Amino acid sequence: MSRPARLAALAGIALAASAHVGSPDTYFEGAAGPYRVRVIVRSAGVVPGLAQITVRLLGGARVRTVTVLPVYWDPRTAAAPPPDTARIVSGDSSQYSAALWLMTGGSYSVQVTVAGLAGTGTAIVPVQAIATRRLELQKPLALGLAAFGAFLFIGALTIIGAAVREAVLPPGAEPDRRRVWRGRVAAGAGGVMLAGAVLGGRTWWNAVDHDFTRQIYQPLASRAAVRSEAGRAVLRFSIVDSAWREHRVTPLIPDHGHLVHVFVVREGLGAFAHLHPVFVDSSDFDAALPPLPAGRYRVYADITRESGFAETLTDTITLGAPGPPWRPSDPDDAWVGTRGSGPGARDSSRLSDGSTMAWERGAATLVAGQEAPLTFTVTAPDGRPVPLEPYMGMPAHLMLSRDDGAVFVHLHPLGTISWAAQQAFLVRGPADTAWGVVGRRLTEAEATMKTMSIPATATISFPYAYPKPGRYRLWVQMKRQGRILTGVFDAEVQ
Amino acid sequence: MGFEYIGFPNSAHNGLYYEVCAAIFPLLLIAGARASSLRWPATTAAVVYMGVTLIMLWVLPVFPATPKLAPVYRPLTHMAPPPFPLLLVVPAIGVDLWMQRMGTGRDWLLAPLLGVTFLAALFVTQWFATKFLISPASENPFFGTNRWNYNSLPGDFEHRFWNIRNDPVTPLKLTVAAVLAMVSSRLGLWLGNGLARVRR
Repeated sequence: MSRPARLAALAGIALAASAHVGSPDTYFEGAAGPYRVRVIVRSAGVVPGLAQITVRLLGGARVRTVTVLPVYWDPRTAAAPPPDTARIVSGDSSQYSAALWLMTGGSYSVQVTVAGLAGTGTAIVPVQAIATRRLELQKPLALGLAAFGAFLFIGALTIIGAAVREAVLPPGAEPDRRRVWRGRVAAGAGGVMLAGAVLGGRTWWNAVDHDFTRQIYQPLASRAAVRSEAGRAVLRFSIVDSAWREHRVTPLIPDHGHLVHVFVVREGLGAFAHLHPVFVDSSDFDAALPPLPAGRYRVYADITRESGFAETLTDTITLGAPGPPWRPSDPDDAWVGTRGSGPGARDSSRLSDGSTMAWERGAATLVAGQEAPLTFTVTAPDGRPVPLEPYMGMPAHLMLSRDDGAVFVHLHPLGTISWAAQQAFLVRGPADTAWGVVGRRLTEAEATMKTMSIPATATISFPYAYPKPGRYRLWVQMKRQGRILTGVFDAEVQ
Repeated sequence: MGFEYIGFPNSAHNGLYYEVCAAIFPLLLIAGARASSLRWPATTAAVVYMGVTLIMLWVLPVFPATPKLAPVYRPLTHMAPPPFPLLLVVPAIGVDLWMQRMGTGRDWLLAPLLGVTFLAALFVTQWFATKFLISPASENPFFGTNRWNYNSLPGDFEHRFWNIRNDPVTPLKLTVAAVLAMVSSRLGLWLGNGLARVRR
């Protein structure tokens, strides 16, 4: 392997190993019975950890109580614990908040139940409990503990010395020189033993720390490779993780009718494709690549497992010059180049059928961690809003990536949650302990699910907050008159 | 510190179980016994240990409790009891008998006798008693019911000895445990002699 190739491979491994490209927090907007709610679950980043959940009631409904309950996905669980009652956030009667202990890593459904004058309703919000970081020991706490430890250490030596020196003397008797020296020697020996104990404690602490770092979330290992078939480039996406191959994790379930959603994003964000590889075998999936310009690309693959655990697997590929005209492997596949490597639009993007997509972003600066204005309207060339058709069961899909690829998220008007995960929680029964049962049920129900799609309107909004500052590109995909349209926008987040 | 290796009767067929017991208990029982003026000091200490644990085992399940954190694998309605205590009273009687018979002044001879007696009595008692304690027959209010955490998945681990493939009891491990018990006994005598001379 040549040096540049080795460096590129290392960069690929670094990207693949850089854990979490998705959103650490969960955003959901939807119905809890008769009430519309927006739910944000802020991850603690550690497991066990305390996640903060806020529930905002949209549309000014009057409610009595809001309760939240995390339910672990495993059907072998005997019963749910009692729910926690969310409290009104001071100064805002439409916003409730609570803290949720997520004790075990993995997939949870958070049941948000709203009770009020219009009745009671529950929304299911899939949440993943994953450790994404190691909390640092805070300096004041470390200093306090060190001072306390030193006090105990010196105190123990004083007690040992005093006990050996004068514990057996009658009250009031002065220890002689020999006793004084024996006390000193005993204190010294005790100091050596205690220092040994402290060293042992350090070894133990480091071992626990090492075990924790090994539990920090890594997506399933995957590989993307490009081959040529009759001059056409074909992407092979493979899940190569031993946990996957040895069936230690639950199987995939279809999300919007596809087991895998692959996003191919050129470095520099100048070109983008959203593909749906076809099943070759349980670990390998193939997709015909559109005529993307030559260059290095990041590959993000969104999958949802039957447990409801949704994750984004990553790899990189390098593409040569585009080949003959594209024959998509799936009718839902779409791609867009941004006229060379030029910028995306700031607030208005011309679509390929002549219509215009406008981003109602407002004048305010975009700030990381704050709810982002992500509302888009599509208008016909004559300026009238146009009705949209469901695209894979959703009114629209929004993908956004930071320019360095460290953030990539696939959003819907439902939020960051995986729709398939939500369905899996809805259809799973207490007896579904065998793997594959829920997936089969979801696949069978797919035909009816497509007819249950959300009605599409000309204006679409997405609940989300940018996780980190930086330069982002947004690709908003929707369907009109049978054509998949992609609007491209740029955002600078402070 | 060693409690995680000896807390459950399911560990009682592991070599480490007897090594940990041999290192800790003679020191504590014998130091207390040597410094005490009671006639059966080690036995008394063992009875108090067993009594405290048994009271917890019998009293805690009386109080209603609800699991609060998912995942909940066992629908517990009351507090879970601790595991049944070690039957320390048996080796403690052996310790007291030897100490009564040998008196003071022959500690270098007494220590090996105490160590071997302690380990032999403990091994015979625990080896067989735990067979009953991990069997379904022991699941009654006296020995404790619903004794597992609500967040532990029910499984056959409840009724078998753990890790016996990697850590079986072998003659070598019993020998190591016996040496540990003798050293622990000698240290216990030494500490007890010191404590006995303390002026209050």
